[in-house]
Amino acid sequence: METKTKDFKYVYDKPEALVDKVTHYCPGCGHGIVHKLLAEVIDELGVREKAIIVAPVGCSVLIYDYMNFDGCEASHGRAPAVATGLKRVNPDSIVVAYQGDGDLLAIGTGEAIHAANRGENITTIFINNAIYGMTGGQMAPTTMEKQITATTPYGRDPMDVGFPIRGCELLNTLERPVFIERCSIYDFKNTLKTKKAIKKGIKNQIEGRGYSFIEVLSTCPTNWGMKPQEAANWVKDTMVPYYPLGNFRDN
Amino acid sequence: MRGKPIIDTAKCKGCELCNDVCPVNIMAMSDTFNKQGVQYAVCIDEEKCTTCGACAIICPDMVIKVIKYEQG
Amino acid sequence: MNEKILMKGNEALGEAAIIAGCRFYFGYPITPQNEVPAYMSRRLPQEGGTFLQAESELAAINMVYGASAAGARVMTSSSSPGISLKQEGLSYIAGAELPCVVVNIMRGGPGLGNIAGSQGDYFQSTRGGGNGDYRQLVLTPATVQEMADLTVLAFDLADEYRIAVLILGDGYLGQISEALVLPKPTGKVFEKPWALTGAKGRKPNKVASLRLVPETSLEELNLVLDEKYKKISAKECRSESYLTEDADYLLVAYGTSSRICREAVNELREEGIKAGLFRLITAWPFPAEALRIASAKAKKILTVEMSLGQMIEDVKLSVKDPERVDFYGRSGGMLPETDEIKRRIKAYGN
Repeated sequence: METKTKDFKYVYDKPEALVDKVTHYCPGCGHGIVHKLLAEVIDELGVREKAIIVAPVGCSVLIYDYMNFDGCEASHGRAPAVATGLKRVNPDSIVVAYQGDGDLLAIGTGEAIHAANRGENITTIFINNAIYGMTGGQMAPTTMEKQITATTPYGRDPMDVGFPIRGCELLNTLERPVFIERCSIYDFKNTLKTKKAIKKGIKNQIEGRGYSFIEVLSTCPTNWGMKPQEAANWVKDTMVPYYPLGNFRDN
Repeated sequence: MRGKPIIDTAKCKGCELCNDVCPVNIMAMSDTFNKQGVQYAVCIDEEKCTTCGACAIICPDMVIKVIKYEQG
Repeated sequence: MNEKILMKGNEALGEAAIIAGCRFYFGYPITPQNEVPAYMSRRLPQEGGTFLQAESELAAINMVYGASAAGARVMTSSSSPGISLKQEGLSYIAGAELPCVVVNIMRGGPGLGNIAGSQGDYFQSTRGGGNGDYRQLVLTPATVQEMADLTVLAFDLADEYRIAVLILGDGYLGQISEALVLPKPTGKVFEKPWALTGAKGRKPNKVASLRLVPETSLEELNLVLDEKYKKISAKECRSESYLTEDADYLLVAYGTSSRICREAVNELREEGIKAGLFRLITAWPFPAEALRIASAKAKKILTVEMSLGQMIEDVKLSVKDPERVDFYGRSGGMLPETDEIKRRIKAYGN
């Protein structure tokens, strides 16, 4: 170290709750950003030793390898049911169900709705990137109208396969959820808002208040065929108008 | 100099998100390649760093830490 | 308390689960096992436990998965079509090596079939209805007493081997009322250092079946599971041999059909015909060695099932001279008849 170097402090350091390793995610993938935000929140709230991450099936299937706390695999769409079992046995644990759009709004719609409806005291982080990433870019329930994917080569036709489903609005018809918010990581300001929402979701759980749902409009540069910054812009310009950002409920 | 980003260049996947997010435009990509075969993030003018942390927060791969020097 | 009490099979099973320390139950209604969730919904809150009616069979088995991963003794129950829906979860439970007890009070199939008792799920139970290379322990009670006793055993076996234990009953056994002596807790304690209880003072635990990269070889997991299955096969075969030592004619059955066979054996013996019964208590592992011994002297071996022939394959694989093996079964919720069994045995003598 140079003798002249002044003392310093970290403005941003690796959270303890994050494992120091290179992820399998593509360059610019939103999962990496949200993983960090979650780890930061877990650290800031001091719950790393109580936390359990429930991994979905999808690109983030290995999230438990990146989180420095207990982790549990769930079969495709069943994370809310697995989280329910974990939480009911150990109510003091902090259980986070991390799910993608296919997981939460296609194959696991039933589990998602009923865990929310029961008001399970868990936190769901819902990554909406409008596509199936891991399997190679097929249509998701949240794929935008006219969006071209591996299984909508002519663009998503809502008259054939329906319109994209809005998760927050759907859950907002239920009585028991205490917190529902849609955020995004397409820029710095919104990334900070996303962190704040995740923090609120975990805090609600610590306080035993019930079910929190945080939808994050995220990116999939690889399967969208865009550079990471272009993908971020696409979220802002194409997804946000259809999936309005903001808080739907904060009881 | 208020502080600067500390960049773990080996981990960088070259997504360039830090380049776009930096409010004072001091993040850029290297001319050379790291072991992953990508041009990695570099800070081209540490003097201008405001230590806002935006590059670190937006980085999906935990490549960047930001330090701030204590006032002395 | 060794007092005899009268209980329905399904309720005896529920009480036995509580005796075994089960405090978590997740399930979805389906006939003819509805007495189990009804009983658990009444009893578990009294014991400080959790009963939760899930939104689906899929959700129920995955709640079981989660509760087991958290270290609890947990049970679900269903009947044939519902058990089909649980197969995905059972495959993951096998891969993640989670202990749990799953009750199948079988009904007629395929499809929606009917609600009468059946034994049509033998293949599904013993061959694994889910994907991948796995096994699960299968216990086959034949009386209300055994519905209770084998349930207590099931929880210990599940914890000992970190495996799903199936209790394979049928609609008749679930619904029948019989006197029983409630079993006592075994008092066995199983440490679960792998459970997800929070990474305090230890490295994070992971509960998962995924093995994508060479460092976490899937074949390695498969071989670990295989070792476990071999150990179970060597140690946990259970069966009952009834009047088999001098039997010229051996009946092979399990569950409700074995009750009918026992009656036939008794009546045949009264007529001077040397009949015997070999009854499975575990369907997997299949008690092949015991069956080989019990069938050694038999001229004919009649397999009796409430299906059109599933267990018979294991019988043929186990006995010497399998051409001795014959079959009688009824399906669609119908019961084999004592008289028909007797008629067939007598016909062998001619």
